[in-house]
Amino acid sequence: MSDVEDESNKLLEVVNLYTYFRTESGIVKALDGVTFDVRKNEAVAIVGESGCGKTVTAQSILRILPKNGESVEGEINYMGVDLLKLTSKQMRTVRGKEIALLFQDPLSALNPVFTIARQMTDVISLHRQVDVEEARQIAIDMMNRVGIPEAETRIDDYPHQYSGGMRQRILIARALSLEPTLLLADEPTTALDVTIQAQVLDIIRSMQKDMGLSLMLITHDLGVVRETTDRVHIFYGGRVVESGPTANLFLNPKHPYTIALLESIPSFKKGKGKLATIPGVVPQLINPPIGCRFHPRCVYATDICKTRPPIEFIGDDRKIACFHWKEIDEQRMKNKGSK
Amino acid sequence: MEDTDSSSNNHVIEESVSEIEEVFPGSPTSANAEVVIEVRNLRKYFSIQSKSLLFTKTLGYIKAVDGIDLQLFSGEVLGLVGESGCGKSTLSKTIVGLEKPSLGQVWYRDANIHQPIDKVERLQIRRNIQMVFQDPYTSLNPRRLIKDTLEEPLLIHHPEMTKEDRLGAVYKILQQVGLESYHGYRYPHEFSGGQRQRVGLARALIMNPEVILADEPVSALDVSVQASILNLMQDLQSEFNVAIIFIAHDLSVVKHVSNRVAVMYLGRIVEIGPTEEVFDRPSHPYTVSLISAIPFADPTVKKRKVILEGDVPSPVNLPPGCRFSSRCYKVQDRCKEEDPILELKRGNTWSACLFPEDEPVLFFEER
Ligand SMILES: Nc1ncnc2c1ncn2[C@@H]1O[C@H](COP(=O)(O)OP(=O)(O)OP(=O)(O)O)[C@@H](O)[C@H]1O
Ligand SMILES: Nc1ncnc2c1ncn2[C@@H]1O[C@H](COP(=O)(O)OP(=O)(O)OP(=O)(O)O)[C@@H](O)[C@H]1O
Ligand code: SF4
Ligand code: SF4
Ligand SMILES: [Mg+2]
Ligand SMILES: [Mg+2]
Repeated sequence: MSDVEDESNKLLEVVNLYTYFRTESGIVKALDGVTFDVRKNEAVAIVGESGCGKTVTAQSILRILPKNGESVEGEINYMGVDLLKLTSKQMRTVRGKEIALLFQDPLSALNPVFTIARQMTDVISLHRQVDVEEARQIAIDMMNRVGIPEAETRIDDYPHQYSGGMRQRILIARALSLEPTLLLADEPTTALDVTIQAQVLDIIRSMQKDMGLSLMLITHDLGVVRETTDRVHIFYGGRVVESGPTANLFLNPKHPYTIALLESIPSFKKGKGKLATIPGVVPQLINPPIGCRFHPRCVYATDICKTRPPIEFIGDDRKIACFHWKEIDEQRMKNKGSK
Repeated sequence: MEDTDSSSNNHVIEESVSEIEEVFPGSPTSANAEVVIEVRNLRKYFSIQSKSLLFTKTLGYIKAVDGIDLQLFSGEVLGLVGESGCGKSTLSKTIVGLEKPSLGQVWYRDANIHQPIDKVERLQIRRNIQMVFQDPYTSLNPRRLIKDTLEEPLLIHHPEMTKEDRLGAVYKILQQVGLESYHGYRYPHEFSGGQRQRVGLARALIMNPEVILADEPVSALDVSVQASILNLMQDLQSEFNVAIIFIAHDLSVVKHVSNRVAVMYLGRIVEIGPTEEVFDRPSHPYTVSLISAIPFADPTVKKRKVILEGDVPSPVNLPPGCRFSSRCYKVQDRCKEEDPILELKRGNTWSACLFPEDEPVLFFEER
């Protein structure tokens, strides 16, 4: 166990990022000081419930925020360069080629009026110095690698001629044909059936290993996180509340929100007893709760929780933002021991 | 009942054979359970048509439900699982009478749901079988107060009730689903997803029905909200002793709530039995594949995976023989000729497979 963080293999580091949206009813503080990192060759998960800021994080990194949104403070260091300081022209060379994005809805990401060949080769020839024939060959090779049968002929089909799972494979092939270093995947399998999800995750995982990619997987499915990623960042109300190696963190969650979240899912092995619930509702982000954003729902909250808890490094490559994690942890250990 | 079917491409198959005595798969999970819903050889085909100025040509049929026999027992929760497009929603809509069968019947006790003998029977069926949807928002009138929406069925079915009685019933049901009386004076858009689902449950339960069809009632909710709705449904189910057909694509959820489970593939039930039996010792290769595909959050176990090849075939061109044969990991030549029927395989589990799993499939290895 080491008590200092390893800085050498960081690929992406988001530091104290604030992203706000202007709306008619006020300023939505979607990201409120988000700090996390993605390392070289690792698969990391961003998890949290609806509205906690997962998609906005990806949009901030790639600088593709909706018009009313802006990252007002913080740093997004990618290989030592702060992406927030790049010109839009420089940013265009980062998008796709360095950092690729995979969406939840594979249909809306493809243009229905063009063939798959056109949509793949356009992207490839834009970013790589190849002619049309070579681009087509790269596309076909990539389609083969993600398991699309008869890629040589199917490349001339239109998106509607593919099923949802096949379309997601096309998008993976297109994203990876540019040989990016980091793949941001925003709920890439949420729209798919479980058997198809298993196929697609299997492909993403093996491509990540084969190509030495880093993967930042956004999802709300804790099962997917557990089976696909090495490390996880838990989001709540526009902040990261807990981070660590996936297996270790799931086995021994320490933040009250993470603990409650893991207990609220029905498990295949658990009995039929009552599920744990989290009282209250997710915070609204125009007037968010002061201090720890979880405090109105937290059973351990005290007065100090009305100030912002600092992020603490607690060993085992884990971090947490909670004032009382130590007492809570000791209490849980005692309860476990006495059972 | 002419008015129940909204789709223009409804297809009716002429019944050519006289009715034969049928054997129903599955058995009640408790001794004094009665059959409340009986589905007999149900088929629901949608025609695919090409229309020109003069002629309408039928190009083929989508076999959404393709021969289902099923009994639902009083007070049980029957989970219905299967991949997108396998016919879960069509089956449930046909059961509540929103769709007309192409062939076969659905009975609520002694009443044929699609051919009630009179108005009284029709009302009785409507009152006793209720539906809960994935997002009740789309089924709630956005311009009506929740209390008015909840009051409406009482006006139809209990004209004898006074205004005070009706309001009393509305407040009571709101409380039972964990809301307050004042929530009745709000509009649907003023509720969160979880609260709307509570309203959806209240609307179904206010008639004190015997059967509820819940089509993906928690699929649109966050896990922490989902947990509270699942807890609520369990409480209400035992309190009201209502039988529920619970549709979900999340197998862990289905395992948590149901007593029995039916697994569907391409319009058919391929396996049905007590939840523990089906999930702990699945016999049909499709059930095995489905279970193995669930991503598993528990870090203390490692799960074996059977990754299925290919996609679900189209319900228009079904593979010959067993309809799972194009993706099955156990497929033999015989499977491509013979269409297996549901048979009692072991315990109380029925499955439709020529080469079912006899040995328990080990999904989990302790780490
Ligand atoms: N264009 C916008 N204008 C105003 N608010 C926005 C906008 N886009 C996002 N938000 C708000 O920012 C917050 C974070 O949204 P985000 O889309 O990142 O959530 P998410 O974690 O991806 O949720 P989900 O799991 O539902 O996809 C939400 O409260 C959302 O309403
Ligand atoms: N009104 C209709 N007209 C034509 N085809 C239909 C109609 N309703 C359903 N279908 C088709 O019938 C099949 C079964 O659909 P159904 O909605 O019952 O599936 P499901 O199991 O509920 O799927 P999901 O999990 O996606 O909700 C699908 O192929 C669907 O496209
Ligand atoms: S800081 Fe306080 S309110 Fe926040 S999670 Fe920890 S104990 Fe709960
Ligand atoms: S009948 Fe054959 S193809 Fe069908 S499920 Fe059984 S083993 Fe597989
Ligand atoms: Mg999102
Ligand atoms: Mg459906």
